[in-house]
Amino acid sequence: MRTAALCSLVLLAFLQSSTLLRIPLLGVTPDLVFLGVVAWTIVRGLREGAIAAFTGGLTLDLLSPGWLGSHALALLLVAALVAVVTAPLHRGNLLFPVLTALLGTIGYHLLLMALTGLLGRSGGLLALRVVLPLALVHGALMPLAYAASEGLDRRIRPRMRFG
Amino acid sequence: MRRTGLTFLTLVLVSVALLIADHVAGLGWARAAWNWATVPLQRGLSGSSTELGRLWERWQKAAQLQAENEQLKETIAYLTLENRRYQEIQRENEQLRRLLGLQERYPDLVLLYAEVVGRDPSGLQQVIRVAWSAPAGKTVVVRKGMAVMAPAGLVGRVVRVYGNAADVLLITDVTSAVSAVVQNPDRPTGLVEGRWQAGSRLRMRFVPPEAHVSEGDWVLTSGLQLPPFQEEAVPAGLPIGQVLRVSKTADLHQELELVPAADLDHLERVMIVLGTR
Repeated sequence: MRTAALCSLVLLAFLQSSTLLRIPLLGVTPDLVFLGVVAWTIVRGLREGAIAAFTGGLTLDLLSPGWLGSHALALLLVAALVAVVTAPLHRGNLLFPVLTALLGTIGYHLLLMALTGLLGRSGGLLALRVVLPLALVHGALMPLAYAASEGLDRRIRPRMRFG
Repeated sequence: MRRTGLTFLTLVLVSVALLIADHVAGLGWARAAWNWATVPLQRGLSGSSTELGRLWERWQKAAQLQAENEQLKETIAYLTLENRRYQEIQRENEQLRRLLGLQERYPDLVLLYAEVVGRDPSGLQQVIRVAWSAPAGKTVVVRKGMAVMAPAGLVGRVVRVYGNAADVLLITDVTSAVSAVVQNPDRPTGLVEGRWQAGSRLRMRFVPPEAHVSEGDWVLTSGLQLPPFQEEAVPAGLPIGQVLRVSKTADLHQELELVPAADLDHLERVMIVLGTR
């Protein structure tokens, strides 16, 4: 796992908790960490996806008022799902990452709400209202996230080969 | 593969442990430490976010205003068009009222409403084409020689008929001649000829030299059906024009230059005189 990818995820978490809250798309704020984790898992596999999920998730946990570890755990499960289902299927076809982003968003948020609800804090059923538009926004942004992850992956690989 | 599974499992366990620890013991100190370390970054990003947010809002508003502007432009274009249409309807209404007034002014005449649908495209003749719709259940017979009127006065006479349309030779054409009378106590008669192709409008010839004619006198149709006007069906008393200038000719007759009563350049609707009651 390269430091650059991890730093990017941490930065994305910061951006998500500040800048992007004021720049909504379709009335919702895209979860850049989620998109980064999904894309990175597709490109680099479960191990690196899991590390990305944990790093990004933990950063989000520290920046949000929820329980520490909830984002990390939910993102880890998303990464596992992506690695098992999507990564072997997509073979360069962008449709799979987009579908993963759509369905993964719903699963991720339900999981997040279940985790917070299970531990005594109400996630609020009203939050469900934002999940569908958020899934659409994530589906639309997924090709960008995927392209960025691939670009980062290409920059990392040669150094691994010759380093 | 085994390494991957181990990493994944470890991270899941750490996450679960964090969840439980935060729930049971509270890990507020961890958040406090994190905040202390990252506040400058968060502050910087928040500052940027405020600026970015403002820019975003402005951009969104600009886009919204642009859309509203486009919509308003469309509305203005539509209303302008509507306004023009209403003006046109109002003008048409006014013209129809005047034509109806014509029927009231000449109750003994049988008039047929017709619309001007064209003009002689060659520009060599002063001819217009008119078309009409026969009133329901009535047969309309339009014949060559019938007079055609506008509210202000005589326009011309029918020279050709094609079903529900006809060509009308305007009184200003050089081939047009109408027997006429000056509306004054002397009542001199003469022949009104078109002069459009000669650079003028109308002239009245063969006015007796002793007759008294003044500028501004009205010239009306006389209704005479003498040769070569036997086929003419122009009733008497229709205004032709007003005397502009009086002059003497070599044969000692008077010649009058007339201004047509009707605005022949802007005809849109006319009445064909079908006959008298």
